Amino acid sequence: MGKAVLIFVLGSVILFTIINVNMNTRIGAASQDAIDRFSETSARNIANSVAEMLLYKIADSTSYRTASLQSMDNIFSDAGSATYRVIDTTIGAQDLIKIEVKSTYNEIPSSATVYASTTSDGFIPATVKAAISTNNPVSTLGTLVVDGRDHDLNGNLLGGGTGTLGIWSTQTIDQSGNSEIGGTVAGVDEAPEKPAEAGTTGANQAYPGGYPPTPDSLLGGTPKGFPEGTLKSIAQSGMGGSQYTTNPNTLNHPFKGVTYVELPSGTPWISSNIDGTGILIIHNSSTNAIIKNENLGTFKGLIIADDIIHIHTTIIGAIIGLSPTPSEGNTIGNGSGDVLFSRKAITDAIGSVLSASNYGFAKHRMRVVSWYE
Amino acid sequence: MGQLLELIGASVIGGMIMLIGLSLNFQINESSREIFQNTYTQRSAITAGQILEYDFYKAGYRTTGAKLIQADSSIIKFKADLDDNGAADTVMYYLSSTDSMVTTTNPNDRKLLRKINSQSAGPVSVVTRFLLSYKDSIGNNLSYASLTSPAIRAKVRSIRVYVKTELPDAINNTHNPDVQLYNPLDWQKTIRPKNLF
Repeated sequence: MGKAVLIFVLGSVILFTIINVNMNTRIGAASQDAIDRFSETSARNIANSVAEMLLYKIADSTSYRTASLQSMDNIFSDAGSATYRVIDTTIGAQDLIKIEVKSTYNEIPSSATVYASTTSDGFIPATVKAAISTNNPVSTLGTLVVDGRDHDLNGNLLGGGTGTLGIWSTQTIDQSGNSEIGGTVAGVDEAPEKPAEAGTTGANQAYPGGYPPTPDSLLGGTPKGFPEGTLKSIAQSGMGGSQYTTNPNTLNHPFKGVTYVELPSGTPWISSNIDGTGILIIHNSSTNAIIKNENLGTFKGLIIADDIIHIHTTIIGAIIGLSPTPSEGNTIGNGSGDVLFSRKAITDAIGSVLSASNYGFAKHRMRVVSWYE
Repeated sequence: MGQLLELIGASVIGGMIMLIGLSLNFQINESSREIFQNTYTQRSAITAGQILEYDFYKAGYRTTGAKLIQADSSIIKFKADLDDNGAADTVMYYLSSTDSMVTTTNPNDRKLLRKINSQSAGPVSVVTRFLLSYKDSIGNNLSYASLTSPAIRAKVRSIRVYVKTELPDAINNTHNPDVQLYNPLDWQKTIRPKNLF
């Protein structure tokens, strides 16, 4: 019997040991889950923190790049480390800086890839009320298409209810010929049609405080970084491919930055090639600079013109008209042209201009284009 | 006589040891089961959290136009280039009905589903609650009614995710057998996708 008890006790001890080991394994697994979760979060925080540090480093020294992998140890604790590199890259037509960070914490890896630009964020000026915003009566003829729905830089429809009106005017709007007008009304996209869907145009509107009289004031003036004369001086400086002229025949294509055409009073720019991007300004102190028959090139960005007549090409972005008394009545288009509203085209155009005044100590800040983590 | 006493004594001691052993075994089994159940709900929550974080942190990455397509209390649909291949994907999270978990006795558990582009939806985890709330850049809560507007959805800068996981079947409730206990576990996090701007 004594032997039987001993065998039983020994069996119980073995059974207890097996159960105990099994239980300890489960407790260990639960603890390991918590540790791994903490390490994952820490590794991600390290990757993001290093990327942020590099953004500041580039902001202070815009030429900083390192194609070879650099390492950084003892981040957060001796369990954290990271490697990184900073290189130039191009996505689409956009020149960007790519920051790649790979981090580990307790041997748990994470990574972050940041695409950044040295150009500033742009914005949509308050004066952009529609794809075409004017201070004069507007008439659309021919097969002109004015679409206030949001488009990408290539003119592809984005939709999503983030567009604007087709045409906005302080005076009358007349839709004639086979022209079509569309836009976004209260978050609902309406395709271009004739007649246009109700609400896609806004006629006889009042501009609070009076319609801005100059290109700089149209972009918001001093509060928005455009004191009077800023656009002209940027154009004259040649920054980022900007151009200033009184004779449009001297312009180089494609347009970039600010293209400022200050025409003599009463002298129109006829049969124009507007191929390019940025901000195109046709203006003089009498507010009677005329651009007529835009026949060639696709323009992506913002056009500010005293008097714009007969659009026969594609404009992706927006148009703002200044003159309340256009030279040829009100015909903004009488042939086959497209005006496609694009938030991206406008913000890119204004952002590239704002960057010009963003240099100097503590001024130049990076613009994060996208962040992959 | 002496042998008889020895036999009785050995039987009593052996019986006591046997009872102690059985009791110990029972207790260990109970503890082991509880630990296993805790680990189950913990792992369910962690898995859901990891997948949600992986996708949500990428919301809006390399996309154009509206980034948040649908935003409701337990449904979200957004665009993101998940695999970083230059092509935007459409990601959707939503809950299945409770009928999808007919083999469990928990009346509230259901699948949290993840749908990428036009692929068929796959389960992320089994949850009993999945609640989303949305805030703008200064931390104001945006009401679900207002989020039907694209303009309001464009203001979303952070998403608070709440996930509740429970056991598929009730555990023994020794204190009150009438009440079903499913060992609930909550996971919540406010995620600020860096590409929602």
